[in-house]
Amino acid sequence: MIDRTMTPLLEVRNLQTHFFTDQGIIRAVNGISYDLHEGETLGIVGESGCGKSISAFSILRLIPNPPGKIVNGEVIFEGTDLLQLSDREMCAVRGNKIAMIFQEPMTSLNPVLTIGHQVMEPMVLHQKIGKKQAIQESIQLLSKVQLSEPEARMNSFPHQLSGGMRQRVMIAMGMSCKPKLIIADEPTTALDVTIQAQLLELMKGLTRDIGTALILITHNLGIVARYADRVLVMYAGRIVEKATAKKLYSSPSHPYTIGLLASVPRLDQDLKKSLSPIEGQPPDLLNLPKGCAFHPRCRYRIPKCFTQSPELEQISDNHEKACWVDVH
Amino acid sequence: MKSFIINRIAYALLILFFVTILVFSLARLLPGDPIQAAAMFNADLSNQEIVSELRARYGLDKPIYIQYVIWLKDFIQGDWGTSLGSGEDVLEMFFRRLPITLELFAGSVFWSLIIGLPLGVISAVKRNSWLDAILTTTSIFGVSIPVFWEGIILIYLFAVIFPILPPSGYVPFAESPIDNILSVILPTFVMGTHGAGLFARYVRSSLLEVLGQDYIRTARAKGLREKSILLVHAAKPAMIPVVTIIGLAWGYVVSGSFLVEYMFAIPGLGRMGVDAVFARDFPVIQATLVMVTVNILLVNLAVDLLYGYLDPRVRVRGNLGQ
Ligand SMILES: Nc1ncnc2c1ncn2[C@@H]1O[C@H](COP(=O)(O)OP(=O)(O)O)[C@@H](O)[C@H]1O
Ligand SMILES: [Mg+2]
Repeated sequence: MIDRTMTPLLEVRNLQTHFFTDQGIIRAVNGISYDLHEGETLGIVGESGCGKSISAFSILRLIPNPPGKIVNGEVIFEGTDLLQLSDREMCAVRGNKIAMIFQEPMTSLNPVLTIGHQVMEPMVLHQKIGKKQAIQESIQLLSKVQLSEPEARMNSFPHQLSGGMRQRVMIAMGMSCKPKLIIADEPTTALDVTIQAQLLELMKGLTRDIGTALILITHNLGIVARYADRVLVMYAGRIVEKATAKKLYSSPSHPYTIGLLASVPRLDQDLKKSLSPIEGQPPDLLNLPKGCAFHPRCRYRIPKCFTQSPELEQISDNHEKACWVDVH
Repeated sequence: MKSFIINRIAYALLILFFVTILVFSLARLLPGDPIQAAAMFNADLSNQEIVSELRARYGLDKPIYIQYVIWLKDFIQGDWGTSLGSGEDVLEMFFRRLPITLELFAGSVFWSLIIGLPLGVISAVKRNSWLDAILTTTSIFGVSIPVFWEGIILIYLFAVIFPILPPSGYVPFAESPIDNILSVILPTFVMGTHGAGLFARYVRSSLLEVLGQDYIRTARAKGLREKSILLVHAAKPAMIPVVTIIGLAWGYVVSGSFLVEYMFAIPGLGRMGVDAVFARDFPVIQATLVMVTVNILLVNLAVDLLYGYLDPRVRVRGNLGQ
């Protein structure tokens, strides 16, 4: 079990990442805070464009600059603030202590390098092991992620593999230094449903085996329910609700979360009726409304929502929300 | 891959065939013929009988397509005829001058790469900085500067104002290696300028595109340093589009050699070709043009092979075609 009394593995404090564009400042991540404990799985959900990827990239400082910049906050990992590290020290964390699995398996592998080369790279870089041993370990890794014929695959190029196989390679790459934390940014969104399930089971199993914490980003609440211990719901660069996965499902409290849950197809409902996406346009980050960013789409709004932006507040044990209205 | 190569070779041969027809007819379309040209300097040739006898000896009295077939057969067999001007064997002339021009080619490719690649890489890595702006302006200048103008300026600078290099002439390597190098610095630089600018432009844009790709982000997320990312992850994919312009740049090197050899009085193939045009020396003109074509086709073939080597996706497509 996860021991929440210990110091967290990762503490994100008031993280703000902005993009300075010709049209104006995009506050893609606008002051988020959360903790993550060793071995824990944290789900981050929200509609496309709400800042899930950028908040994850910010942890590893992979924000393209210009136009992006982490303008504020702390990312404390194993006691040190990653945002204060030199570039060289940061390189020693990436791929070693914290690994990342990206959303697009088709474009995230280098087309001109062999699978073997790409899987071996982090071990050779961080663990300083010889090439022979790295090859052996890579073959083992590839068989662990259930890639067929792992030895032959070492010499393949990415274009010879399907999307699902490439994502298995990405997972193997992420695991190669047995990191403390893996950030998986919509790892299965681009794949079809049966492969999604296989890969998520695989990741869950592998992270449990080596005690790795996992940040699982998705816009699929079904996935979060099944695999995450705790969940952050993001809207327009902020966290609007934070709870254990159980509580989020049994008693969702933010109108946005309620809307999201209503749009998840359930097996016990008529399909047509169950698909009720939240009304209104997703927010335009260049032009956020005053007050609560969600109020234009909110069914429960009160006058206060038009003028004042709510902060996260505890509503029960392990449950916080940022909303003026008591929906229950 | 094999069928890919065979395909390219067949294509090259077809182009070569059409070019020989074109080259042969072009030479005949120049006003006047060589006997006429010679007659202006030689009183004996005012005699009509001698003129027709000479025409018959050189085959100039036969229908033009027969002249072509005879010429092509001879040419393939290595009989390139004799120069109408000097009476020398054209094949011998060609091979005597070939090393000189090859040295110029090698020198200009050297300049193109040694200047163009670093400029492009620095521009891309320091994109949108003042340094990038300066380098980009420089490379546009390099692409657009006319060869003769650049030649004159450089001769004036480095042979007249600061007389450190010879203004013209060529010293064979065997005679004096140092003087040889000194004598080719200016001409090869002039020939390579266009290619340097072209490479800088293409390397910059290609590298910028590659650096924005998802797999570069993956490489960063693995903890690789910027230098390894450039060398291991970005260099090869960025070179793929750059390779395709080698053929284009080569065309400029070859055409530059005609102007530059003339300008710097270098006794290479370019000079031979220009002299031959002025003298209406058909056998030499034809040999020059055909060999220029062969040269450009060979370079383009090499480019195709290099492309296949760099891009594994091309390699596989070739395999499937077997
Ligand atoms: N390179 C960029 N330049 C400008 N804006 C960006 C850039 N990348 C992301 N953004 C902005 O950041 C917001 C959040 O993006 P992202 O984190 O990728 O969303 P998602 O939740 O779908 O992962 C987007 O709405 C977009 O406007
Ligand atoms: Mg995303």
